[in-house]
Amino acid sequence: MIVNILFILLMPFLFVGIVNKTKAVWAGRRGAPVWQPYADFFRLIRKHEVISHTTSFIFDISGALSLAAIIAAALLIPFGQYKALISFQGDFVLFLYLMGLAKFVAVLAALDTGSAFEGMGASREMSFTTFLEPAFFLVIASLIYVSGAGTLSELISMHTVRLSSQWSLMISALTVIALFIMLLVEGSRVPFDDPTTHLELTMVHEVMVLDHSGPNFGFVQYANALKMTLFASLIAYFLIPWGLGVAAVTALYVGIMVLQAIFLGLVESILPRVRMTRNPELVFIPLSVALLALTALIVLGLGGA
Amino acid sequence: MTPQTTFLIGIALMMLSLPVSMLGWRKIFTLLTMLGAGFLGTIAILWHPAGNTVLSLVSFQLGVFTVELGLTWLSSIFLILLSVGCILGVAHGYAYLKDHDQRGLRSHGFFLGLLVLSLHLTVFARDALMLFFAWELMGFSSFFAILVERDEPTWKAAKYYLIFMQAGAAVLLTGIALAYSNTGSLRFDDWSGLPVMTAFVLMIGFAFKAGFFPFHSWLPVAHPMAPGHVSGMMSGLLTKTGIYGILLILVCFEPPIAGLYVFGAVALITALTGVFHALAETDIKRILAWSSIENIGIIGLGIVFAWLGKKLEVPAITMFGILGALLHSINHSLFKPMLFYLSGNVQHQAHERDINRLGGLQKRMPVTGYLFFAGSMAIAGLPLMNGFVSEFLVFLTILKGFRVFSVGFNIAAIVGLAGLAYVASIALFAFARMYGLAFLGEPRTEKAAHAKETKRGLWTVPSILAGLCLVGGITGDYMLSWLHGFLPDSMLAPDAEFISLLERFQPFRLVLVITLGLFLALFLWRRRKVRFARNATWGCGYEKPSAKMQYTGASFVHPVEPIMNMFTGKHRELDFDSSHFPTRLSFVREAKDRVQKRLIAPIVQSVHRFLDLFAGVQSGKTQVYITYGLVFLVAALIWVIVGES
Amino acid sequence: MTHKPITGLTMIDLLKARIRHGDQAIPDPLKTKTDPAFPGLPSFRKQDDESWDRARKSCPTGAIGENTLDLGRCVFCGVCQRNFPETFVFSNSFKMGASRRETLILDGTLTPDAYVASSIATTPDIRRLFGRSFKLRSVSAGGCAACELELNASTNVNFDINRYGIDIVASPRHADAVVVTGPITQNMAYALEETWKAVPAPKILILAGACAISGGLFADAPALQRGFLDKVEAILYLPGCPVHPLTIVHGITALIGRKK
Repeated sequence: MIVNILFILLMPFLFVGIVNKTKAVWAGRRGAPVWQPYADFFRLIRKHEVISHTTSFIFDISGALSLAAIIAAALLIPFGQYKALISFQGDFVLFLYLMGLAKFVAVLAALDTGSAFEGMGASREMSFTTFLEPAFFLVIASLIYVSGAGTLSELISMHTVRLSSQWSLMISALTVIALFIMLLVEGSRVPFDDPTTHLELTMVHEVMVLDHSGPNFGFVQYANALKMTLFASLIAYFLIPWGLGVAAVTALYVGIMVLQAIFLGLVESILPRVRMTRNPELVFIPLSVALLALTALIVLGLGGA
Repeated sequence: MTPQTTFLIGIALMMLSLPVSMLGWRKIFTLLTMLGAGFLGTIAILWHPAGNTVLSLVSFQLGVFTVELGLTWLSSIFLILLSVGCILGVAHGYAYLKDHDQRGLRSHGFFLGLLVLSLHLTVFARDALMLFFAWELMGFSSFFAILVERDEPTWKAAKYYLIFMQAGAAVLLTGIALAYSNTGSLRFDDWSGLPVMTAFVLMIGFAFKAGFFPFHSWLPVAHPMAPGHVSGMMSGLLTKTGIYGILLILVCFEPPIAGLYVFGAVALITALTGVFHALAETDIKRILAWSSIENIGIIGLGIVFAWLGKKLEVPAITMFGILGALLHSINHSLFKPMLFYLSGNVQHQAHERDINRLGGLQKRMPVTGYLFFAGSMAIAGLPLMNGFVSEFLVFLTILKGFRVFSVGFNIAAIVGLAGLAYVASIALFAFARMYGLAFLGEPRTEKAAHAKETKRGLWTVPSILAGLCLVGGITGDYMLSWLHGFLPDSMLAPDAEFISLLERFQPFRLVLVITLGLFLALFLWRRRKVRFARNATWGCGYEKPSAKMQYTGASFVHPVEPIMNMFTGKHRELDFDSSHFPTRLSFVREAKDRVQKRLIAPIVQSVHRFLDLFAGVQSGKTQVYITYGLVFLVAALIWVIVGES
Repeated sequence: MTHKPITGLTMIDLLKARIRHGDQAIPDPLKTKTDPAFPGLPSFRKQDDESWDRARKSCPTGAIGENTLDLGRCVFCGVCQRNFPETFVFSNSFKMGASRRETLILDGTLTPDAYVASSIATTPDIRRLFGRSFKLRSVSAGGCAACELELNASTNVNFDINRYGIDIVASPRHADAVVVTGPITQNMAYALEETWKAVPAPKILILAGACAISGGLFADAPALQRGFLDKVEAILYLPGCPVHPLTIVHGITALIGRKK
């Protein structure tokens, strides 16, 4: 339990820090230290705010509410251990809807400013969501189909890779691909978005927070980092081999998280941003991958009661 | 007091309210109607006809038929839904019309009372005769209730609605006739084992009212034209009688599995069509009407999976499905009227329903705005509000389908799951758009800029509904236990299943409490610590920002337009002069209902053409008509003579 | 004629490019030395009134006063040094930033080392709040783009100001400081003021380059509107024409108390 909470508090910024460090190193810079995101966060929450007089209560609550929702979602995900802090049958629906809640208020806050940029970001953010949400459900469904479990923790712990079974390997591989693309989109990463710019070219998530300042902005930063870490965390479990002890799992988990952050940094360094009009095609990938995996499983009759 | 007396008192109060309304005593009328609905609703709560028990109330002889009124488990659930909805709806109607031009309100009250009465009678009916009577009464009374504003568009919309209802009623009547010839009885109790075709026709008749694809096109036409309280009641309550009817028939016969798959496909298409239109529309009330169609689709999915579970003998799926469908019906009957009432308020204050011409209302109408936000959360199925609980249940139902060893069912589950998830995410999109564009940002027109908060009376009922939505969202398990108490054995799974369902709500509530607690902690900490400076929205130092620069209904959904166009027809017009400094620019983008364009318009046209054939017969000259009479007489004479010989 | 098929870059190509790229970052921008030819922090010894007066008249921006040399006006053209090598010497020290406008007005008593030691004053508040993370918003207020380019260069691979947790951000709402370059023209006065208002408190104003500090060559131009600076006082002045990236890196890190 303490491990879980510690990870929820510490991992997100470290993850982002490692990603940024990797990018800096690949570019040949020294780069900010890996703990830079913490420093940014603590600076932000000690600052005051400027608020547009166009905005209403939505803007006021958006940062706190979306962070609260994402942290609550994080409680449902096993974080460093096999078990999540809270789990119940069908908790993944709540997980996804809490993410939806966070997105809903974030999008509304963007519209609340009345800025054309933010409206654009909000529109794109929502558009991507419409592809990702079904994909996530299908990924979960294929896991349920195979394992019969009903909670996220169970699904994941039963689904660490069984190296002996080629099907387990394949499901893991496909799931990881689907989840990784979701991670890229949700974490507003290249090629969908670029966290370092706020230009029209890549206006998705980052442009929605153009008007946030101080603690409100800090909350949003934290929520976004945590969201990315959640997906990374899910991916990590699909790469941990089946049947290890708790200590080994946690150690492997941390290792995989760090590797993922480095990998993400490399992806960002190497890939160009994709034209916005082509993004929906890419966002379709997880959906089709998930559909493919599930259909294959069902046709082969690999699951069932 | 016996249920019979309670029933009679309730009916009597409602009957009494009708002449009272004609006298113009609107307050007394409202009270009487509310009391009547209250009396009728308490029957289901106090005497609780659960399981297979039937609570017989009144029966009398009408010619050769026995008319019977009573309650079963199914009608009790819908009765409570309707009476709660009617009480609040009528109360809101009183507040809504308080400052309205009093002309014509007497008859409006009369028809409103009649609508409430007929809604209740529909669920009390134990035989097809009574049901059909209530059904027709409901159709006509709601038609007249729409006609508060007597302008041309309202009149046209009401006519469209009436014709649709009559078409539905005709199908229903055919079904009833078929059922009578099959079973020799009009009592629903005798209808078990209806032939598939008969049940099919009956279900289509009910589908007209529920608004299933392709019989949905009256909703977005009729709802926007009705006054706020009527559109809320129509969308929240009237459509539910269609669901009630479908369930009533489904209980009576053994649907073939292929039929269920077809029903499932229809439900999914209904949900998708509804939600994409909700995404494309710019008129608040039309968005809400389309979203009703979407929710009917979700309810339909729950029903389909419940019956598929029956077919495959997995009682857990049946129970989850029916609970999901019923709970979603109830939830929808809470948040949808609420949003309709609030959009009525918006129209009342801003004289505008188009989100492209609204904006910034949150600051001008704060209470309406808070409630609208809560309603949007509920309808988008976000946690904390009740919409989540029922959608969660439908999801669970479908996910259970993956544990059944049947390829067909598994594929149905994939399609259902992906479809439902898609619908849910588009609904989130649509309601973020609707609330965001109408209530947030800067007002786009003068009308919106000058909107003021309504009187307290106009947000009392919506805030009660919002409270109910919140309570339903947090204590969904109590609702479920309550609903579970009604279910008959055929719908039940072993208790362990239900207990495991309820057990999920403890951690679920814990997550909600943590979310709320964290939110409050973070929010209050920030409010205490931070000094706020007010300034203009950051616009990169641009000196002349304009409200027109904000995102609009069309631009907001532009990224998903290609997909949207698969489900909605569109009408697009771009007009500008192509000089270097254009002075004229106009852009129109409208969503068009394809069913209306491709299916209904051609039918109407061919009917028109057919009737035109007879237009020549009408000349208006007396001599010609006399000649017709003569010809007819001669023909009759010849026929008789020929027949005799 | 044969067409070579168009292929994308492979992973190997990318790795090769990365290796060839090597490590270009300046190991420590605060300790590094600039080219001897770089005109940096000047020092002067007044020889005689007549040559001083001639030097004064030759100065294009009037940086040379009665007995002083104003770094805030100096455009480092080197005219004075070329004509009066005994009087004016430009060292190659880039550490010219100062916290107060008066500090920039050299009276010839301070040695370069003493100047650097005292020119930038940080406060405990600034150190605590911005010591590890400091975000800038750049406003190009009618500049010629030279200072802007140099400001941009301070974030590039070589100077890499990001290593200190300092970055240029896209929205003033996210920023802690506004960096003004250019002489602040009429057309940019409103935008500058709006930007300043859009930055949440506590906030800092930084003036980079001779134009921003004093108007530079355009000091007397009618198109300037520098009223903003009467209302808000900058707490970091970075001289130069254009300001050198190392001056920026040094000035800002010193301001937030990272290194002296």
